[in-house]
Amino acid sequence: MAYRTFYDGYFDRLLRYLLVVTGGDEESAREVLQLTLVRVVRHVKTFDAEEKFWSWLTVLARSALADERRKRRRYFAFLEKFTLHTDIEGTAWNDGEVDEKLRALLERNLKSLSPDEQKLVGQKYFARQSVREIADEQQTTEKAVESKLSRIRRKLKDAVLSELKNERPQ
Amino acid sequence: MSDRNNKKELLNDVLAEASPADFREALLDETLRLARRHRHFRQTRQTIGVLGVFVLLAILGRQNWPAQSVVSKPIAKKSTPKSYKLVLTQQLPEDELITTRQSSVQIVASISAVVQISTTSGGFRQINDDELLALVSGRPAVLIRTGPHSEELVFANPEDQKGFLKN
Repeated sequence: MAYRTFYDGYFDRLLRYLLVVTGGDEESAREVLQLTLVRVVRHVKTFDAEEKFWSWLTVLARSALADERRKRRRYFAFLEKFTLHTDIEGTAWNDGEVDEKLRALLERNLKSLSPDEQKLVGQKYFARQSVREIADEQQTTEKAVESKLSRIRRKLKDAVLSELKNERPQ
Repeated sequence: MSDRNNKKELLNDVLAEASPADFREALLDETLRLARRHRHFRQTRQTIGVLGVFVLLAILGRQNWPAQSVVSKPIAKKSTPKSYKLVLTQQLPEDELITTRQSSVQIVASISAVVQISTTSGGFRQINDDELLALVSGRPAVLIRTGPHSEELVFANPEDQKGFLKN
């Protein structure tokens, strides 16, 4: 199914983009992602290049974000309209910038992990070891390894989103 | 796998961490449901639009049809002026024909039993007003002149007129 292919290909990418655009507001990013995907279904058209398609997707995402914020602050519609205008202009990130920013934040926070945690991440994501291999090497269970990895990922996520929020333009 | 792709996978896993487990699938289902509803709505709207056009065409056609036939009749008459009047006849059916025969008619002869009365002029005399009033003496009456040469005798008691005429 064409939509499934699109969904698998762009879900993570759009979510990453929206996390940066919303300044690390995960809840908003999810809601806006849903709005964006609905708009894609309603207004989908043919593009001759992938870059143009992605550019169109980011416009949809930003306009969905603007509408969502307007909805949340209905009583300040006029003021919001003015501030959103500058906000949208200021957050017109391109794909490369978004990924670069997230990667930089991830690398910075990877370094702040303990040596054991850094080793575990290295084994899983850079040495491409399976959980079973890691568990055997550390003489523990797969479940314990999965649990540790989950905690590390959670810590990294909180740190990355926190930094995004701190960098959000006021 | 390159270091860039490794980091990308790590980043995806990090960002997906602690998300609702079925968020991805639930969002896909919800989007597809909305897409189906949107398609259904669009199809319904198109169907209604087509039906509306047909109804409109039918109404317009119905309004224009009699006008066209009325207009075309005089044109047809003008194009074929006739210098003669064509009369079509046809034979009547037998039961509508009435025939007579000589033998069926009975001739009745009459004899003259009527008495002829002839009058001669000058056998009467015109009376004047006084003589007329003298004739009705004893019955209250007035003579009303209604014109230069006409008069009317009116009795006070209508019953007197009946008796007078009988006499």
